[in-house]
Amino acid sequence: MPVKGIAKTALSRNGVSSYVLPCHRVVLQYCNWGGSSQGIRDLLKSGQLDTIARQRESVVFEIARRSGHPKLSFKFAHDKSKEVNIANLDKSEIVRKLQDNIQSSGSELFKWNHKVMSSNESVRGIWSPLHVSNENRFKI
Amino acid sequence: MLKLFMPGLRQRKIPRVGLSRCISTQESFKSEAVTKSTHDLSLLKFDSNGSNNLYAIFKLYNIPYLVTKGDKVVLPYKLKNAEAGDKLILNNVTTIGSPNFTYSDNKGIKQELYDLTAKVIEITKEPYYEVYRTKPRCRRVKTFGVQPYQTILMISELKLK
Repeated sequence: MPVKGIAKTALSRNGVSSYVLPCHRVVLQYCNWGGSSQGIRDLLKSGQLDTIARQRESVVFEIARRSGHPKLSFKFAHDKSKEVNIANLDKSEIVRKLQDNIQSSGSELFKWNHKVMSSNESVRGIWSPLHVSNENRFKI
Repeated sequence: MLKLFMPGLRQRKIPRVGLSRCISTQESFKSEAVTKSTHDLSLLKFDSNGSNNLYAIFKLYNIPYLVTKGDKVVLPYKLKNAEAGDKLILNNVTTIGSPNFTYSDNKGIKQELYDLTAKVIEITKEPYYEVYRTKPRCRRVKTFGVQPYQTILMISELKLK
């Protein structure tokens, strides 16, 4: 009888050996005329975006001039994307939105009410009162 | 697999030798457990199946987290001075265990005995929710929108050296 391996589906665990930042592209959209784009125009003029882009070499920064309110659109791995409205925000607020969203995975926000999320089987198994040795068993 | 035996020192009336350091073992290794108060973790290493069956409890801001390799740790705050992609060396480990053996030290296990690292994989936020606050003798209810930060770590390495 040939020996068979135990079938197990592979899990993609970004970060176990190597880590790839999920965000790979940012599009900064602004308008040259509208007042709501004043903050992003200040940001582009100040050159602060260059230093941010230099820190994150794996992310493509694209600047698009279009009419309408300004917005940031983020492209993530697994075809996820996110759009953030930055109308009437000042320079520092836009930078904060940019830094926050680049570091997220693009998946839906959720609240996990436990400390650890695990896909591994429990090392110790499930506790059972019947498997405690006789002398340590709870006696009535 | 289910045979667990982790008696406390007090329970077995053993004098506290070598501070809180001890190896608690299964029943068959009971006599060894009494005498061992060294850093010899060969039993633990042998039982851990190449760190597949290994868990550790580390403390972060004094809160314990029980982890195995590949687990995600969800911190309900933005970790200071950390960015996505950073590697953290977790050096406050109180317990390392396998199915049958446990090595624990409340003051922290020596760092040359193990390797426990995590990567910051995500800094994100919780979903938006609202909290309501009232003041005494005032009918007005104030509503505050809340969206706290979350930091997610991935345990990238857990092994005995």
